[in-house]
Amino acid sequence: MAASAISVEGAHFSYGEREVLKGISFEVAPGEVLGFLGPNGAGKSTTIRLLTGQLKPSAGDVRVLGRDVHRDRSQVMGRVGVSFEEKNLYPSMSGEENLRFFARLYGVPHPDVRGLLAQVGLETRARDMVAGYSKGMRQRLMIARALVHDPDILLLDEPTDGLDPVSSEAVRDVIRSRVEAGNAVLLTTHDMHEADELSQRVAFINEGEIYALDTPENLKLAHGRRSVKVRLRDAEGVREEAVELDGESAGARIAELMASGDVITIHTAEATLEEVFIGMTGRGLA
Amino acid sequence: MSTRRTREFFARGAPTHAPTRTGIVAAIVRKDLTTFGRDRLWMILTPLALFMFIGIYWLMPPRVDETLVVGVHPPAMAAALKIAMGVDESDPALTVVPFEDVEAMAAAVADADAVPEGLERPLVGISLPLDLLLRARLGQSATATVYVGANVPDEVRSAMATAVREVAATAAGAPLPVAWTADDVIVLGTDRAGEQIAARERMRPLMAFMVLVTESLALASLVSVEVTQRTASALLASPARTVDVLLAKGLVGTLLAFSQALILLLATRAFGPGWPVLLVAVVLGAMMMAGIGMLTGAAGHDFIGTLFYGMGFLLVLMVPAVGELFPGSAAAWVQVIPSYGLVEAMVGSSVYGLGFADLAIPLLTAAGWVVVVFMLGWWALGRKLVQT
Amino acid sequence: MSLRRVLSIWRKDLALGPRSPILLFAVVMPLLITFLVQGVFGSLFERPPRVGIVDPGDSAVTAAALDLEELRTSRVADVETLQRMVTDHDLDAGLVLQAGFDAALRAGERPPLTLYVAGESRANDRVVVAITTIDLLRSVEGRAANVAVEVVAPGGEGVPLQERLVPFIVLYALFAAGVFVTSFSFTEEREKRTIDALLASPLTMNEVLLAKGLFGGTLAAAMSLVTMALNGALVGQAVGLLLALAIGAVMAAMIGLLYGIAAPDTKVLFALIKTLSILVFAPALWYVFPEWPQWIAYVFPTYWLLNPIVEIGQQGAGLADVWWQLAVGAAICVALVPLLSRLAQRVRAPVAA
Repeated sequence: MAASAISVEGAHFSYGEREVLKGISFEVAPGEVLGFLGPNGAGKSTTIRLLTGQLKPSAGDVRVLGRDVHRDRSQVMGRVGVSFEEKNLYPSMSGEENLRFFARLYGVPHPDVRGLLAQVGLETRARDMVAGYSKGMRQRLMIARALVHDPDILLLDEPTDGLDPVSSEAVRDVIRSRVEAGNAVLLTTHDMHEADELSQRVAFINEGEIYALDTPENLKLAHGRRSVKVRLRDAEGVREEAVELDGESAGARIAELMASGDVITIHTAEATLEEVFIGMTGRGLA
Repeated sequence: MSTRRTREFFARGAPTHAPTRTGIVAAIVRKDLTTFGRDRLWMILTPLALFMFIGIYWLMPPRVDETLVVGVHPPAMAAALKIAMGVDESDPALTVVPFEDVEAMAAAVADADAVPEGLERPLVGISLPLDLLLRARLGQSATATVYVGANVPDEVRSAMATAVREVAATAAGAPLPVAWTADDVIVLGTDRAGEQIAARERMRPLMAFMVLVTESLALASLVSVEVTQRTASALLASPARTVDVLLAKGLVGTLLAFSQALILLLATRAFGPGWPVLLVAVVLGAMMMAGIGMLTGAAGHDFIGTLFYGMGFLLVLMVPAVGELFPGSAAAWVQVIPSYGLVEAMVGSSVYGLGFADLAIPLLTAAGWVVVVFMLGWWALGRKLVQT
Repeated sequence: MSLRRVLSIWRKDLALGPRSPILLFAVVMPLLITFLVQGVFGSLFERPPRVGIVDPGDSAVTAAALDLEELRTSRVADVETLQRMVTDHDLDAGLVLQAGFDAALRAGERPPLTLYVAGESRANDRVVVAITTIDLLRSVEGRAANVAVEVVAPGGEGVPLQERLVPFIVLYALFAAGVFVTSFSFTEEREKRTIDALLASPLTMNEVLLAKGLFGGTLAAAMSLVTMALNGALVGQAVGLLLALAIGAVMAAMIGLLYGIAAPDTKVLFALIKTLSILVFAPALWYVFPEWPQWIAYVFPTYWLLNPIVEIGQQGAGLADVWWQLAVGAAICVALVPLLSRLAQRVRAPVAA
């Protein structure tokens, strides 16, 4: 019995001469969120497409529920829900119609369309054409569509990209509830806050390679630098000083600053995932 | 997650609500027909095209006017003119309208409003001198006038002048210089004098093609939108396979094209004795257009590009239908065009009432081309869907 | 208003133009229609009968028939081929002359003559062929009747159909370029939201309109000139003609801008063009059907750009004859300016798909 809902082993893929995935490997267990964190063009969406069977790896093994995605497609795809980066909805159909259509494709005879739309906050716009939806509404409908057949696995490509904070939180709530229900979720994002909040584990991907794969906490602890940030009054106004906690003189320096009487605030500053990412890959998440 | 829940997760197996292939294809067809029905452009163009073509058909004259209406002055010369032109009373080629007054005849030729009541409007009017026959017998010169209406072709003007000279020659007792009797005029092929096939009948295949073309462009537009909006990715991430999507597009295209062409042909009374062949030809035509729609939908990057590619293919395919407006057999290069067999079958069945036996070769040729075009469209769109 | 900024948009559109199917359409279609009308439709509606002759003896009858403009005559190799061509209606009629035909004719021997007639040939064509053949025979025989025939057209000579269709072609050239290219150029900017980027720069909407109009208008003027030249309609006063074409091009471009403003995307634009084209092209029908009352055509704005072009280009009229029509056309263009400007301010790009 396979323990991983998603299993990718040494996957390579090229678009023509350009190799975009250079032997990536990872697993996602049921009830887990794995965040794929990387900049644009890192290979995140390509990985999603390998898992949906739209692309075939040139080398390596891609399995969903222990089955080969291409060979056993019909057994696999009925249990996978996908939300793409592009808002690929039918604009001349309503939100409700879009969901009902996809439900039919999955063979779901009586989908709870209203319930799904309520879950993503679109119940009052169910009958409106998607052409009139805002960006946030379309993204929420994308999530609803990924859930219409009650999948066990969710592949979410930038699910909150471009959304306002309220919409983003609504989407995250949905993801959390699905995880609690036991879904395995692969989530791609270039938003480190989202990866940090939602993911049990995070994979850093850049230029087709996975640089690290661990819990956010472990990544920050292993690769980040601990420091204390002190805000002080001085002759010119206010200044800030960071004291590395890992240095030998850290304690003495902090005591010195406290003794000066000029300290306004003092707090610890953990490394962010972005800082860890930059440190490991040499480039940012943008 | 707990071990028990993990076990349950993997034990679920294939979903209980597994879709059937038919169900998937039916869902996509239903979706396409819904989006087509909400597309303002095609909902305007489709009925507009139908209405226009049906209107043009019924506005066009139902018969071919192959009669020369010739006015003659003086009325006594009417018989001599007919003899000179070699026509008898029953011949549909000539109607002689006698005029007592030359000015009235000239006015009738120039202006339809000046035609005396009860008389047909003459295309030309021949004014012969009263003493023409006498002068001709005596070998004396004479002058006659031929009045022609605007736009009378040169060959008719020349023929009327010749007729006048022939009247004189006959009166002068000069026989025809050749041994030419009615038996020496041999009609080859079915003689349709008086029962010519009207231009509107010949135009019907062209109109049907134009309707099929419109629907082909509609399918191309639907397909290209699916590709550019990337909803094709969403479809292929579901249990739907590429072949399901292609089958659905082919069905939608064929259905739309066939239904519109059928409406047109019914409204223009095309279904006569050869109706089974016509029906088969229309189905084949619809399938060919569906193939073209898939091909051009896959080729274009946006609506305008799709339209442009589509028009390029379709202008070529319409050549045989345009060629039907011209008499005679088609040039060799026209017979190579994929739509040629279809047009032959449509014309043969709707205009000449021919059956399967007579039209077997055009139908088989058409069917062969339909397979080629449809497969090309299938391949192109399949490739595009996979790349999306 | 900055002419420099306007010209920079114009240059951009011109550079991108060859990549646009619409521009190719606007250039190719008038040429294609010219070919169809001149080379094809002319012979469809007003074609003389087609006659084939089998003549092993090289008769003067055949030579005379080949010279005739009233018939389209061709030599055929043998009787079997002639019969097949007549049966298939590739010929309306076929004549078979025996060897030594001329000598026998002149000697009064009344040689035999066979005339094959296509079953699908028109009855009046059969009469024309027969009587024309008799005329040829008499002329070779040398015993034509001594009758002079005067041919008179009491109602005036009509204009051949090919010429009556020329205004339609010119209007199409003006509008394919002036309306289609202008409107698609503007609507595409809206559809792709590049209009937002343009208006976020120092460009004003009026400058954008002017640039788009200039693009379509110059192409319209050029294509209508070329089309008229190809159809042999470039006669008459050059100054008057150029002025008429210029006003026509401006009006076409302005109508194009109206379409572009009304249509948020290219599909809606296409639908608008298809449904409203009857209003735009209607005046051309009055040249195909000259018996219709002329005053009805005055209602259509495009009449005032088309009629001066036709009168100068086809009928040799001078500027003095058409100046008032040009003035009406120019006034329509001037009246459209504030309307366009006001409507354009309300333009918003469509909601992103």
